[in-house]
Amino acid sequence: MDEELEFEWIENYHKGQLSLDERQAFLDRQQADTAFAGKVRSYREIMDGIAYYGKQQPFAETIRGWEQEIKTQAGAGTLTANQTNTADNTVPDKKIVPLYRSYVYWAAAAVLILIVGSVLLLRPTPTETLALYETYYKPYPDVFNPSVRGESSTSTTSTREKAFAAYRAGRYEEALQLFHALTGDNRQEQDNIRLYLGNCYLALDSLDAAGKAFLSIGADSHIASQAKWYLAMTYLKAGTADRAKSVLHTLVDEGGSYADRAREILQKIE
Amino acid sequence: MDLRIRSLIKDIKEDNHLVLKALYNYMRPEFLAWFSRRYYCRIEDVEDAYQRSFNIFYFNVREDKVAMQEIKASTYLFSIGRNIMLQVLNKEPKNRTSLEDVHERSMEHVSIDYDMEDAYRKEVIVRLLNQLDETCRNVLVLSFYRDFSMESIATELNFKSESVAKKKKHLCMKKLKELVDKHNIVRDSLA
Repeated sequence: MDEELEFEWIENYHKGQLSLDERQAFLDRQQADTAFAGKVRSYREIMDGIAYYGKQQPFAETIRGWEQEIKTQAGAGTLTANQTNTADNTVPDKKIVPLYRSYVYWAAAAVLILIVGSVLLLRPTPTETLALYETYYKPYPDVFNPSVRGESSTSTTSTREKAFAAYRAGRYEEALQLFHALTGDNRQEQDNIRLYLGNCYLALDSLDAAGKAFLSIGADSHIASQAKWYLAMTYLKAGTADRAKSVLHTLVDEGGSYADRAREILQKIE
Repeated sequence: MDLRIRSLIKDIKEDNHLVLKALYNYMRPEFLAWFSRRYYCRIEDVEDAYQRSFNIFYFNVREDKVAMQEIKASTYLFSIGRNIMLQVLNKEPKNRTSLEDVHERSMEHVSIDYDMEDAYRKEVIVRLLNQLDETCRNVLVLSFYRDFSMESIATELNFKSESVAKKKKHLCMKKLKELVDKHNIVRDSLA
């Protein structure tokens, strides 16, 4: 059998696209021909591997981003810059002092103990974080759907427009159901929907669901900062000050439009 | 930050990138130092191994594939790392025996996972796919991950026709299989 046809046969078997008779013929050949059975195994592994590649790609990209950040911060003094490519592509067998055995480790441990100690002693109470939430929280405005503002619902109004109308009117339960019905044509739109879903959950006190909605908006999203801000609001409302602080610190570091408000809250709870 | 896996499950399943990033940054220096000392390889290979190991760590925790949830995250990561070095990157350990090696990191034969062989086989394909050109990768991913028809692949990737797309897919698959066969020959010679 021609190699291309053979591969197609294996692929169709793998995808469950053979008729019963074709499937039986395939299994008979696999049983009788060990070389063919080996090819089937090999191609199946490859096809499974390709599917895995697709699945893991978004997280692999995230990791590459973190790696890039580490290298940018380390600058020219990284370990990598000190390496030379020897003829056999190996690293010269020089001593690298691991972090856990250096004085830096002990200094970091001491700082950590101080931080943990002070957090335990000075941790804000849930009532305080809730008060901060109430001061700073405002539902995210409908900035993505300005054209329908002020219009009344008609029979021809789309689900999207109805969802935003309910959201603007503060009818969050209704808005939640309508936003859930939207799929979003592209990633940007899907992230927008997640942001509004999270805001609905937050207003309705479904804090776990709100947190999940904001966390599902990736770090590379066009509304990543907004998602972080509302995630911090969720943590404040839930009384989990440590988590809120961690998110607020990243907003301060990023220096965007939420940085000042994040800094203000941090000053009050730290 | 070197927590037991059990205590990280919730954050990992919720895709809490703040926790994941902190964990990634925390475990990285020790991983790089330990593997650089014990394997014949370049530092870039160890960095590569770390990224792959963390990726597998993440998916295995998310998908409840870690049998021993009481062990430390770093112990699990090192166990994955050792297999990535040997099975995916074809890098040999230096086999030095010293007191330093008698350490928690050396729990090579302890079964932490239910079935990791499959994960390493898939990771080999991930590595080799990255050696193909972008068009090949796209054709294969659209076909085997996103289940696109050949007609849709032709449209998506601007091929002249469905048959051109089909031909390309076959060529890419053939190239990938050659790379896999070569990889397996090298790996078997190390075993």
